[in-house]
Amino acid sequence: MNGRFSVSSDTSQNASGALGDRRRHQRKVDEAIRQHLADMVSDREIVMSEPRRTLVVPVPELKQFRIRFDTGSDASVGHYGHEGDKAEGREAGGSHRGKEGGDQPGSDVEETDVSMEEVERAVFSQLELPNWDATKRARGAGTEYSPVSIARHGIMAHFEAKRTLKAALLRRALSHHRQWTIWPEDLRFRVIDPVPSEEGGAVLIAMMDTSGSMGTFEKYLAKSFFYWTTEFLRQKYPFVELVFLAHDVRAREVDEETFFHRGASGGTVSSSVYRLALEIVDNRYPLERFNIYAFHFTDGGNLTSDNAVAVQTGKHLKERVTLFGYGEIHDTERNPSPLYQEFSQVPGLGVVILRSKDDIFRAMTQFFGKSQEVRGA
Amino acid sequence: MLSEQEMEGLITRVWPEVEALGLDPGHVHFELVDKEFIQLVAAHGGLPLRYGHWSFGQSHKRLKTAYDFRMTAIYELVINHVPAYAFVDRSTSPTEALMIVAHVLAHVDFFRHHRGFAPQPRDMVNRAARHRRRMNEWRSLYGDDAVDSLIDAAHVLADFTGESLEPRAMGESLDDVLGYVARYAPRLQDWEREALRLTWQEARYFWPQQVTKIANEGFATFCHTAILHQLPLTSDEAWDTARLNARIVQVTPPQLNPYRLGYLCYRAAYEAGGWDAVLRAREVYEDVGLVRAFLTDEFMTESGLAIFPTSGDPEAGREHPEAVRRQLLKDLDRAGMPRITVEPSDAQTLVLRHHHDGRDLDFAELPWALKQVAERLWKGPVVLLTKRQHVPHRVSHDGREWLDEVG
Repeated sequence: MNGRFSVSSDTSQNASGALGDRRRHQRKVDEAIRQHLADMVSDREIVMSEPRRTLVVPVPELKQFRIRFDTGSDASVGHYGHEGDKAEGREAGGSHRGKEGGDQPGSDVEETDVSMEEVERAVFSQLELPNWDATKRARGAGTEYSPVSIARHGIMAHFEAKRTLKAALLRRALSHHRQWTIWPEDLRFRVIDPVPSEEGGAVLIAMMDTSGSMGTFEKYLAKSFFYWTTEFLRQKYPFVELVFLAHDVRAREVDEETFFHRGASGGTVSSSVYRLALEIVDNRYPLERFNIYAFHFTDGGNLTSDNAVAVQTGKHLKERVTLFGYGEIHDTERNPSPLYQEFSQVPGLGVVILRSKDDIFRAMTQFFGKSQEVRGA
Repeated sequence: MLSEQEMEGLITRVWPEVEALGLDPGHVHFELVDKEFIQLVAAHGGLPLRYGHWSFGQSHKRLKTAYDFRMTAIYELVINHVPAYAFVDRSTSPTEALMIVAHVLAHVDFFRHHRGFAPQPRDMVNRAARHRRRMNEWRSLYGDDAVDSLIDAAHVLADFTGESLEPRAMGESLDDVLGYVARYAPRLQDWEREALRLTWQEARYFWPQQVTKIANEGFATFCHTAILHQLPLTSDEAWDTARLNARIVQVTPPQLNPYRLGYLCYRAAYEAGGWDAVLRAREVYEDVGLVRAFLTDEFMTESGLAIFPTSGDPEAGREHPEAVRRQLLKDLDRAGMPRITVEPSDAQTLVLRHHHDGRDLDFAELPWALKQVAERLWKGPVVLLTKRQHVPHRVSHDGREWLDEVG
């Protein structure tokens, strides 16, 4: 009877190649993510809700297409529950053989869960920092050396006389020796430690028009852009300082919450916010030590009388920051504002027009696009 | 953790009862493996060392997720091969394994005796491994994209290799669409034709399994129940096996549980003609035949079957056994696949006919499915004649453009 069956157990059962299939699948997911970058960047969920770890992305590329019946409209036979027979969810599958699918309608999901890290990795792989000055290291990224701690051993060059004497005095006070000598155990030395540098960093100056003409949609586009820009800068710098400037006819510095969620009314005077930005740059963030990224989003409805002044201060601001980007949000087809036209003539000043959600990613690539100069739209 | 000695002990206990019932499993090789391995093999359709494709990775991920969330558990996996391979999850308890062994031996007996499996190759695991090696050669010669897209397109047609269980040469009958394409597609390169032939072979291997799902699971469930009745069990063993059995035949509306339905069919066979009738049923019937033979009106009431979605009134679907039976047979026919045949035409265009039986095709997927066939296999226009809401449609794709013409 023993010849009829055999048993073995294999712990190292190598599923050779099967892991390759996981990798192939993952590659397809990555590919799909890349193709849907524009959708994901403009995903309302990311910007509007609490920080999330995963994102549901529809990826039609990952569907296996078949010639089959329309399961949605057709009836099929199944079990109904008996009275008092509450199933707690299907726990058993028992065994499994034959092919997957076909008998399980709706098992083919067209969505995949993508972690935020994956999305960010995909998005940021397309971007880089233009005009980036590596010498202006971010706070915490560089190191400086300074004598911060004390040790009992060291070289004589690092001898710390004052602390050595103090140690000797202390020892003498605790013991009954009257002699005044320094013992080897009293010796103290400085230790030169690497410490994170406190210098420099990156600053994002987010300027947004909060006048009455900026609707929910316009604000949403601007917010999405600032969200991704902040996240992007945070990838590059351990610390990114954020400055939020909201303006209508007057500009004021606000906190993040107010900036993104508080509405306002009134007209638009863009020069006011440029002037405030200049003031802040001059007082707090010298260009020699900081990489400064300033972006201004508006609907382009600047007060006509302010245009000349705004262009003047805008150009001035451009000189004082690493990158100055100007974005105009139009939900309808109309001509760019005079401000836009003026700015697009200025070399090194990025301008962009956003019309739909898809343009957020386009704006990102325009300002931070790989190996190309910032240019007008 | 189940050891080899324990497993041998269990098999030795079960085997005499299996033989006493008249089952003849032949040589079975049990392999104790981790559940990850079972998931992997299941993701590859039940063939270890099958050729690689991203879709297997996708189904593996799904199976793993389903397991992680405790939605399903696969305890065992049997491969139709000589000797039969049975992979058993080593983390099952010895008592559960007792039932699994009985279940597995019945599956193996089914593969050995059902007429649909008689013409099957006995060495499919080795063949699949050879296919895999050749696919890998083509991957290195022509690139992953070329091979992957070819397999994508071949899988569209993999369910249409002919409904007969009799052995056939490739592309001989008009309902063997994949075979026809592999044989007659005008612009396939040699390696592509060969790769299609390999996928066709594997599709033919799977086809009998697809149409005997209820028959096979039902037979195994009926047998393990009978075997456990015969075995002297301790009260703990009786409890554990009963619990596992209950989980297997548990109903989750509105899904159809093949274990439960199949079990009831074989029980009806037993009541009608004893063990001889059961053994005869396992030789001749696939799912449709089994249901047609044993699903009487009286039995319909007991089976707890209804047509879903029930139109508002949950009682409505249950009342007409005749209607439920007719719908069930439709669902099971050709493993739930539409009937599609090749229409004779000129060599440039592939014309397929869908034999409409009241159920429309999924028009959301159809353009994509036909596109893959037109672009990658036929490399020319592909036409499908079908009906949609009783109106004849002529849909076609030539690799670039999708056309849906009425009439």
